[in-house]
Amino acid sequence: MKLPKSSELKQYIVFEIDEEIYAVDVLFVESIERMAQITRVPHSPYEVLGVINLRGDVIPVMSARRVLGYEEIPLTDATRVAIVRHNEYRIGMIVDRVTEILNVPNDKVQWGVEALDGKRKGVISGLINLGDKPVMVMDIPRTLELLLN
Amino acid sequence: MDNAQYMELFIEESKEHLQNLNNNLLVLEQQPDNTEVINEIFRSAHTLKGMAGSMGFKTMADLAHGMENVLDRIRKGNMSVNGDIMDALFEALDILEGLLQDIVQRGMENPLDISDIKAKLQGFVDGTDSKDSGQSARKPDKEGLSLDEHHFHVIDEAVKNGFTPYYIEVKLKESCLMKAARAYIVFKAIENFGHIIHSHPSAQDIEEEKFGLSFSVVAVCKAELDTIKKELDSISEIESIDIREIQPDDIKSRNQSENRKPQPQGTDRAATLEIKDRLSKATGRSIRVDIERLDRLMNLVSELIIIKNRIQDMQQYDNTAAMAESVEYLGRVTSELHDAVMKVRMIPIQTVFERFPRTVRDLSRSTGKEVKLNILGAETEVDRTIIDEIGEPLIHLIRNAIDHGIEPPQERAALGKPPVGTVELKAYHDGDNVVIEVSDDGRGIDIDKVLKHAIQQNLVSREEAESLSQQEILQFIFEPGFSTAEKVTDISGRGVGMDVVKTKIESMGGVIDIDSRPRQGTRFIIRLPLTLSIIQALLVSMGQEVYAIPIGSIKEILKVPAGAIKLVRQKEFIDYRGLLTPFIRLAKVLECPDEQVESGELVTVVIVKKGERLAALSVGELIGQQEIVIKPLGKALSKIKIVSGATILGDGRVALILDVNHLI
Repeated sequence: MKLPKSSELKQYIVFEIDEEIYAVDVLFVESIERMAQITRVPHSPYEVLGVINLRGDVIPVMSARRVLGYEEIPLTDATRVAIVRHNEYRIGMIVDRVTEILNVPNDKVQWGVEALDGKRKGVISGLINLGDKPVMVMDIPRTLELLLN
Repeated sequence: MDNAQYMELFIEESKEHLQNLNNNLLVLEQQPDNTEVINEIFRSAHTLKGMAGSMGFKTMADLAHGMENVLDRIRKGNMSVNGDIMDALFEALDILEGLLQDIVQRGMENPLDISDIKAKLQGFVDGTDSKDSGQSARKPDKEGLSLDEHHFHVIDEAVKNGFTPYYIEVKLKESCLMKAARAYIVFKAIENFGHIIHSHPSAQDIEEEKFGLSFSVVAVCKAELDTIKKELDSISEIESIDIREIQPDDIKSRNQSENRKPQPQGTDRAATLEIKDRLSKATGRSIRVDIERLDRLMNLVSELIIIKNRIQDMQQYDNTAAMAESVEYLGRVTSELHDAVMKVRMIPIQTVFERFPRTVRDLSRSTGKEVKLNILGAETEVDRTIIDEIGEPLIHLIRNAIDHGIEPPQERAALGKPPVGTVELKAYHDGDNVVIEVSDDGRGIDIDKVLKHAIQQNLVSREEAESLSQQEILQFIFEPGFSTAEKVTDISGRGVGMDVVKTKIESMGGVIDIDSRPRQGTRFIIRLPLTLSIIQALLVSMGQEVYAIPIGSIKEILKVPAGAIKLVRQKEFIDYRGLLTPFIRLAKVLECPDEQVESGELVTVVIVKKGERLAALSVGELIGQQEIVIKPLGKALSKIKIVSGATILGDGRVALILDVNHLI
């Protein structure tokens, strides 16, 4: 209920796609898993690659590359699935590699940026200005909306 | 006097007498001169009065006494039965049932105001039939909210963070059938703006529909009063909404009054709890088990089956006779275990059906239509969860059938139909499904008007509408947008809330179908899975992929020569036992990447059925039959209809379960 103070630290999980750096608020991430065999699901949204068996539960997985508008590349040893949870949704997000976990003071995040538009409008909602390159913060609720429409 | 030891007996016997009264009153209505029935009713009322009196339940005794007076008159021939008397007796009976319910739950009587109904009953005795026929609506609970220290603290905190506390009182329309569902929608809407701190009655009571027509909540929101009100106003079946901001003073004064409350309440509650405890110790040859324990048992059986499938898979590494024998034995035991657990959860649907004769009787009186209810297959056993959930949708369908389906007697006579309309309720098993049908011989649904309305509501464009089949048009009545329009009732012949019915059925993993013929009637067919988590399925491979088809929807497996596939109007068919049956290329429907799935001279075909309809699915290769555990696909994929879920195979891979109902 409380709004974070400007100096409060928030944690982000950081991953890279090609040359760009992205981040997801750690509060949305339940765990990070190694890749498992994907079962394709017909008629699923473009971003969803299928479902996986996560310790006895069947959960859908989406590709971060597809969500953000990149070309698909083959999976590697570094490929991870971030299990993302929001409301009643539980879904895996496949990323090329997870690089680090960042502690970011809230005033270092610039909110309300419009990095993407069209169908993907709003999927990137913030920019973290810390190192040499800006880190783009993914808006998980908006991403899930994207899958449902 | 310590009545606790007699309590159990009192409740059991009262229940019996009330059920007896109910049944006999229904008979009396049909045979007003049947003195035997009148005597029987009189005796039941008299006994009830005596029992309630000796237990100290004054309101109950009082009301039973009122009924007894009327019945005595009838018994002695001083008065004859008419519709108004029957209505009053039924009303009194309902109140008695409510009173008993309170006693069961709280161990004591609710001080209910029964002066209205008593005056009505006395009116008959005095011969001054009170013409005050305006149904005395049940008074909304005026107890208000009892907030405790914790709630005030939360409100204080929220205010500091820029939230505004609101008190919202919602009254549902009397016609609202699924009160719990509506209340849930209201809760959801409020939660869009903030958080609900407290509700009266409690959320659980509301969920279990233990409330009258109104309920109230305290919520902290980050929105203007008007915005919230507007949102809530858009929800249908709501009579009134009273929303106001909670002022800081309110909180204080309530706080004080709260503190002044006398303490002995606690001990009182402990006493009633003790009584309740004793009551739940049911005797006899059956025991009550918390459904959650059964669920847990069922989950464990599911796990066991997954492991069994895995061991079956591993048999290839150690294929000795001893291994094969053990695996087979394990398989048999797990199957039987599953069966046994499932049976424990099964109850005859009678328990749901038995309250409908009364519903029909009341509706038939209030609409002035004559209606007969036929019940078939009440002994059909269904899963416990279905019993709990299916009542509301069925009442809704029955109500619709009488309200909008069955014509008034004159109109029926003019059409050459029997003046008494028929509503039929039928339950039966069909493979792994249980089917419940609600049908009427009324006027049917006017397809043209449904279509016209759908176009008006922008559910379909004029062009698309051209190519829709009758079935597809009928489906519009399940659209939420379609049913919230209040006026629909008289245009379509179907009332508000069909979307809720459909959602409810689908949440149980079922499907609902309509069959309607103009002037002949309408039939709703509800198909529910018998078991909700474990089924027998045929596994088939499509190239690299494996799919499961529930055995319950399979009729036969065949091999047909590729040449036998016929093309009729751009659609493929095969001849199956003289029937032209649609031929569905599964690889195409499932967008399988492997082109080579179906080649060669002979095509493997699985004949599947949905009710009466058949279709031939061409599949790659058959793997075999297996017991599988159904896992949901996840919310994000819930829109995909042709797949009903997934299962985990012995090797840990996920296989999708095809939903034949949506393939045909």
